Amino acid sequence: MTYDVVALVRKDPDMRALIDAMVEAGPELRVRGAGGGAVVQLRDDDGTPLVSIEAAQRVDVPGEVERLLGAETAACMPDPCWWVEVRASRGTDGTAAGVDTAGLAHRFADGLVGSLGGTVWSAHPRPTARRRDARDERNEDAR
Amino acid sequence: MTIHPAVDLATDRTVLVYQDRPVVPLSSWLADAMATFAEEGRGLQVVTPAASRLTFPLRSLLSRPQARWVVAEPDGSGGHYDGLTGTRLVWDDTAGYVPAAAPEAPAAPVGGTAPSDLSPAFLQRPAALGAHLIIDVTAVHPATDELLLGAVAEALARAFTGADPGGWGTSEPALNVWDRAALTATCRRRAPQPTWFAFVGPGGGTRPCIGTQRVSRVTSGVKEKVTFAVAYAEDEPPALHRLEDTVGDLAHRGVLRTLTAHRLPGRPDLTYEPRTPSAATPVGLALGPGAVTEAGMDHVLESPVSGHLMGRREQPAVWFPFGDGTTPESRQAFTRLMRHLGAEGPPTV
Repeated sequence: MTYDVVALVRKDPDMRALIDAMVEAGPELRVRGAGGGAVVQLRDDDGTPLVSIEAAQRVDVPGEVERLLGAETAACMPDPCWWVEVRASRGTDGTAAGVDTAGLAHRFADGLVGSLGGTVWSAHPRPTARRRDARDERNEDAR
Repeated sequence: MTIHPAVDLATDRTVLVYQDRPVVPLSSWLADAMATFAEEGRGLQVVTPAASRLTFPLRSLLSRPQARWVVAEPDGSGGHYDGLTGTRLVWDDTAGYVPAAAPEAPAAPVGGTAPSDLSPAFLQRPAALGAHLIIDVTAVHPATDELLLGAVAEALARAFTGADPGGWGTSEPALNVWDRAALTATCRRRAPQPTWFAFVGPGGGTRPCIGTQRVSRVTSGVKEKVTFAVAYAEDEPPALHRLEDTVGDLAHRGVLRTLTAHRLPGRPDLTYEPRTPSAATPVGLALGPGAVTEAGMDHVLESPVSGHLMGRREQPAVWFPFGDGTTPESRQAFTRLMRHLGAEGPPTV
């Protein structure tokens, strides 16, 4: 199953903001376009996609946030608002190629909201005691 | 893993997308994956946990041939069932998930399936169900430079919710403000390719409604094929009385080909759980002026179901109401009318 995260941000996320958030999420990862340019992926050295990030869309219909993400998220959404969909690839063990991809998706969304303002929605409550693995440790060291 | 960003697993004939979220929409990733793989003749299966619900556009998409809603059994057994029919599924290396009893066979109608073939999770009754009214409209407009699409969607939303659609988009979420000039421009740009889009109610306490629409070029003009869904709470009767006026309105505009209306039990929030088959019951059918002429006015009026003439006097549409859809008479009336009009049913474009 995948793990979906949506960043609802207050400013149009330009390339600079996206790259900053990607670097913050996983500095050693590779960035690659996919899906005809509508999607950017973070991949590991072997090319395995870990997180896919969809082009930001401006939210001109606020009812869509409540309909698809729930009333609680709609109550916290910024105005104006841009919708950035982030999808973490996960195998049955909750990782992709040994990486905690849900944690990676959250770090990216948090980075974006940190610089642009807004709120983060995720398909499940954010993992609090995240399982850490070797690659994650390296991420922390690299910062 | 690298064939398409939305795809989690691919077999020779099917691609599978895993979606684990409370409400699963027809996202741009799914729409794009579907378009990519439909060209190759491969099917699409969306796999979700039993707690997930689908939006109306995604449910409609997964009702098509070569598509399936695959639901993971909530008992932890590792089994799966079909979210629309409840049929138990097994894995096939070539075709993905297929019915357990007869692999590769089309899903049997629910009424004809032995209960043991159905997942017990599917048969658990959901909590409170209201009603969904589903209205399918086909309209054909003359192909002129002045043509502004979206009138049918607007007429339906106004009639059943009192408000214009709030937004539209080529996938969900539908984040563009409702704007008929903008959506017409999108369809023109894509022509002669057909364009699909969803339109949604404004939200914020208005009655939930959503529709999908396919715009295509046909020899007689530009065709709008609209499916509109509106939800009612448990204690509210669906506004079936508004159907006749809607038919009259569309007939007066001179664009109506056919309209059919069904009701089915459904959640008041207009999402769909993978539980309990809810068969749709026809509540009415309208033939537009062109369809009436093709079938022959005399033949249409000799129908065993009484019809009402609507719209323009010189070229009327005919509306056949079948009752409120809560008794067997509604379906019987529909069947009698279909038999009278011919095995193919109402003429379509």
